[in-house]
Amino acid sequence: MGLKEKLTRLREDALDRNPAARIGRWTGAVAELYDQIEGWLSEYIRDGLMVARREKVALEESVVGGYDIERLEFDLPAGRVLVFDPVGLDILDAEGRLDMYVLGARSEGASLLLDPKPGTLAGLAGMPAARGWFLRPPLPPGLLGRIMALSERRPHEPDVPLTRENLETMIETLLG
Amino acid sequence: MTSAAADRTALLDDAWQRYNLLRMMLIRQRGDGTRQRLIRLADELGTTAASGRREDTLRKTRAALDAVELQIERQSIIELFAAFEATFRSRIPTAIGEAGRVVREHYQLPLLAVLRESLVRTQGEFRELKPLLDFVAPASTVSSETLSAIRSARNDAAHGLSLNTAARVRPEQVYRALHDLISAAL
Repeated sequence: MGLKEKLTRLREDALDRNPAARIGRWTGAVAELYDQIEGWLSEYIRDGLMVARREKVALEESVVGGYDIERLEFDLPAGRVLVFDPVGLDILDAEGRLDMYVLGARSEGASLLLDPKPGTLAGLAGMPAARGWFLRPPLPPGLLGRIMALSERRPHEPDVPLTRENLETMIETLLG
Repeated sequence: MTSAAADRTALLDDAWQRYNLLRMMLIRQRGDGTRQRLIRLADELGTTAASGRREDTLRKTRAALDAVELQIERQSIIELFAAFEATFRSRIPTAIGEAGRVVREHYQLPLLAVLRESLVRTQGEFRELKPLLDFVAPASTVSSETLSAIRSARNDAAHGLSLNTAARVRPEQVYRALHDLISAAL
């Protein structure tokens, strides 16, 4: 481990023991993500195909207590709504998770994982420590598909880094 | 999977199947999610908006379907744990009885000889979930971090923490971890 990595780890360990700092880091990362998403989708927003809206939601997690965070929604044509819904920072395989879905079809939505923990990214197992946001596709529809995915111990599609292209592809998929 | 192994995880597998069936029923109920379908569904579900506006009704109906999905997730996590506990609770009395018998008949040391049977655990010690998980965990490769996360997801679901948000651990992660614990310990 290099010195920079060690110092970064020390700083993160200290942050992990401080709930307010953890909340600040998480809510900050989510706000930055929303800015980035709105930037990537600005073309559609400008053309009136998407209308972005943020609203405050209250979350409560046993490890850090309660806090406010924003949820991002896009009104789409035909009354469809695309939602980015923060789930929390106390997540098993990452430093935070947002669910991304079309309103009314949450069960078929994708997830966005912040700084996935080593070895937890499906299809990217070789990656020692991934930083940033990653997209986790929905599990296959249907009982059989889900059980097969479990027996293979991975979702049917690999996780991918969040890029503009991957985001747009996922939105297309979710819209069906 | 051998039939003996499948038998050990049968209760858990059933709970997992029920979760998936419920989820599939919800997806079927929503159908193709078209406006026409959702407006019809709104009549059946009583999610017609008070404003009378079609858009409000669509939004309310979609939000209601998502809320049901969250409820299915939360309840399924509780169900998976209930199946896990039932799996062990039905076997622990026999295991404790056998351990007590072995100690009674074969304990050789004079040290604490009078109390030798108290060295074996009692059934009451496994009444709570945490001691049960702590007892079983060393047999498996499930990490303590995973155990703690799935247990707190279960507690959050049971005690109504963040009722309007998704469980922080997905039911499939709970199923996997509990399946590994049962397979390794039994």
